[in-house]
Amino acid sequence: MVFPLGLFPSDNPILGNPLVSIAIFYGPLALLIIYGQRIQAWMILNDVSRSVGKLKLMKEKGRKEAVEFVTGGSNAKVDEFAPRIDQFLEYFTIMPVDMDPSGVVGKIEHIMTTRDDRMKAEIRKLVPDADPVRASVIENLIEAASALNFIYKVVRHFYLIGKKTSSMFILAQLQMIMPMVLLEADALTGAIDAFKKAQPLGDGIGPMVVGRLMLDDEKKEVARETVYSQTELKGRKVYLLTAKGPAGNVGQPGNGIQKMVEELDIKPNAIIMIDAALKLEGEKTGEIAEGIGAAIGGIGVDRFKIEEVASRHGIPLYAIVIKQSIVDAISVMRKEVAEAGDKTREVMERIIEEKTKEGDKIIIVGVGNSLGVAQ
Amino acid sequence: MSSLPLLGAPDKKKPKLTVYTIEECGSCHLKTKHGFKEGDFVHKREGQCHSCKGNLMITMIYAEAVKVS
Repeated sequence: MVFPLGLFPSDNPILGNPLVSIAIFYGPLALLIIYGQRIQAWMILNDVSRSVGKLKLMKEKGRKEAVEFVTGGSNAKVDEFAPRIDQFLEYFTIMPVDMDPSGVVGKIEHIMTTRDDRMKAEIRKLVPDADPVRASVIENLIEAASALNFIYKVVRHFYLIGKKTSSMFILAQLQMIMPMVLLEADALTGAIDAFKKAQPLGDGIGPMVVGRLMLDDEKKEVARETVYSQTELKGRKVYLLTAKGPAGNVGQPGNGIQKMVEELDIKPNAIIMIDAALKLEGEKTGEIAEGIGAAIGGIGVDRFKIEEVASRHGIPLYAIVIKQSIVDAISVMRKEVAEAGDKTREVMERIIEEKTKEGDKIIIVGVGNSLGVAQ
Repeated sequence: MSSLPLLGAPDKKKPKLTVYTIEECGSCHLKTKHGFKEGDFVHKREGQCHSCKGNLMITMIYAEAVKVS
């Protein structure tokens, strides 16, 4: 038999042997055919295992930073506070049954408000002398650490299931989504630094633009951690609404608008919402886009309420969004986003001029986290 | 030329960010930029402008990538 590629010299007594040549050439091929999938599974397992390790480090960093912030760096207090914080990290929320969806938004709101109340009460108990900014920072830090803890535990669960059942398919799916999971975890880890120093987040661009217009006016609390003020702009009566800063709040814009329209009898001719929006890869950070509808994220309760009140009273909803990635949205505000503030105001004024007339009433809502942004 | 990241792995190179505070005078609109210090927040009144004695206010706090020369 002639060796196919003639790679080995025929004068060598060992390599010249056609059987050896066949073993060297076809052996690995047979090995790959028989054990290829196992080798692949082993490589995937290693890859996923490394990612689980990274997530574990991130989770531990989140916890450590939260403990350090609460104790103020004092080692003596760690033993007292760490078990309480560990308990916070394991808190869970059971969402209401949605088999009969009628009225589910109210139930979700009730559950989320209860969760929020409990968290705030626990933090007050933990650090009774904390001012509102510090208390909100602790809350945000615990939220981030808790999200990291949850991500780690879910990923570890599927990793261990894949390993236990030797299922390459479970592991392959995990490997496929891992870049996205790591990106999100990375964003949360980045957010921790911003939270600790109470620096404005990318998501705070809405409160920043609207808060600027509220500076010289009297602010009234219209819903939980949500303030509004009244001013004149381009001959229109403008009502400005945003989360109360500089503490890290998102407020309740849904309840705020509902109360303003239905209880305070402010019947606006338009509602303009300004918010940060997630950009698609390839889009520029800080790019401004206009649209129609309620520009607000979150679980959906606020959006539902705003849409409800707007449709019931026939109020047009205009949206202005400032684009950024998920990482930028929950990390310290990027220069491109901060500098988009003035342009956003120009867009807002143009919408006011184009869509309303002098003497009209307008509600302008700055949606987002007000950490490090006052009014 | 920067190398491409491994297939499926996010790019690990992260630019180092520095956080700055921008103060602006309400009268002469003079802007000053300095490093962020704890306690700074947007729309905080920061005393008087050195050049015109107008009111200074923090108008922006942002992170910027440090340029490596």
